[in-house]
Amino acid sequence: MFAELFDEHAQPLHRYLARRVGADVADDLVSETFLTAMRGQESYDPQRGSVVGWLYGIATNLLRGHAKREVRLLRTAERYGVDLGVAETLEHTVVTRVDARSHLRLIAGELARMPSGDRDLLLLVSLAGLSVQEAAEALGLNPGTARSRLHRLRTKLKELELRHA
Amino acid sequence: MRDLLDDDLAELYSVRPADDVRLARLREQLFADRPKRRSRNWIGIAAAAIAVVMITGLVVLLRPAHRDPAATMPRTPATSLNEAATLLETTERPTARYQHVTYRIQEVLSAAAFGINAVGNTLTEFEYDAWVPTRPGEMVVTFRRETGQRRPVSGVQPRSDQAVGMLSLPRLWTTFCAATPCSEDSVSVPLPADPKEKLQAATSQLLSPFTTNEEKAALYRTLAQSPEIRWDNGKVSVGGGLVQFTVDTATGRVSGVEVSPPAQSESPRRSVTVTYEWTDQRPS
Repeated sequence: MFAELFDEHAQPLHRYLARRVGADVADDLVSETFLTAMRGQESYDPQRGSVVGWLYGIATNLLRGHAKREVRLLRTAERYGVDLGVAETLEHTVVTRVDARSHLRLIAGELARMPSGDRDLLLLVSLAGLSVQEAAEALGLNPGTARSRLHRLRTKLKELELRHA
Repeated sequence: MRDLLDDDLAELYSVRPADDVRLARLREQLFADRPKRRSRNWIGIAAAAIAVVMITGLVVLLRPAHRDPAATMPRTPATSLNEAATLLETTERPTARYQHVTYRIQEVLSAAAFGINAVGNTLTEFEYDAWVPTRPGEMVVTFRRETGQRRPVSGVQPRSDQAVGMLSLPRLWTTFCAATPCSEDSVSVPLPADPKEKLQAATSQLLSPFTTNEEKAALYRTLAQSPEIRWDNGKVSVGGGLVQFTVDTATGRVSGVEVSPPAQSESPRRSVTVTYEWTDQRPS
């Protein structure tokens, strides 16, 4: 069962985690996610939510241990207007010239200041492609609460972009 | 519905290069258990058996009057590493879709390997299986599992439900290969000149399912260049050394390894037996 689960979900999960904290950390997080799932399989109740929500919930909990790294990368992205992949390399490089993309700087700064739960909700839906229902299951939220919180977050970010434009 | 904000988030969180090999490695580490055999389809087996009987009957009925010479040459048991090398090169040819190599390992592990913070040692048995396809572009399948056979050696012992940590599983070879063609990386590393170190360094190359017979034969010949490395009826060792190989004198294949660490060493004591078979079946 878990091998099938891995084959179905490991790649998108890895891609999502790699985008947030880099491929090396994502390797460990994917392993830990499936090990935790295997150890706690009795805790999975299909009545309470989907497998996707359950797996991404475990991954999100594990990801919290790397929140500082993500915030650090976001601050670098805010400073230089680059994406997180570039921000990762900039950490070890002397920056001479970077083409700043100011809208990315704004979003990166806002995400860095955002509570990690809000950032998780926003990115589970936008990056990982989970439905609001699945993201709510992953984060242990009431779907209605998740929906209104997501709306508030997205509106705030869009207004920020509009003001900048 | 996706909008510009999603595009901006996607741009900020750029896609890192995907790496299927990393995922395949994770999968292998996570699902080390050998799968249960599938239930047999008796109707299918009976139909296959009838087909085999009919085809055999036809072959016997229609075969030409003259007979081909015997396909196999009588083998003389090897009496040295050089002869074992020749046997490997001349007699071993792929006869099926996969080479299935089984390793039965007994190793003394410390309590820490079971996640116990105490002093203790336990002799633990493992079985590793590798199915290496003979055709290129096919997936390699490997399974690693504890057999459940344990024997107390000293100190605190793990409970039966305390499994060996994944990182403490014995490593027999170092190369990871997800799909054929595979090659054992350590083969390209020159062996040390010191005979004891030379034999020890050859261990992973000789045990790896990815080392070809030609490479193993070349390795035998390199080992044979050191007079200190002795051959005693298939047992290959060096005086005062920590490693002893057993070579099957009939086939030239490595059939076992014994590793004995020096006294007071924290290195594990390890014993491995290796068996080989050609097969067209393997677990998915």
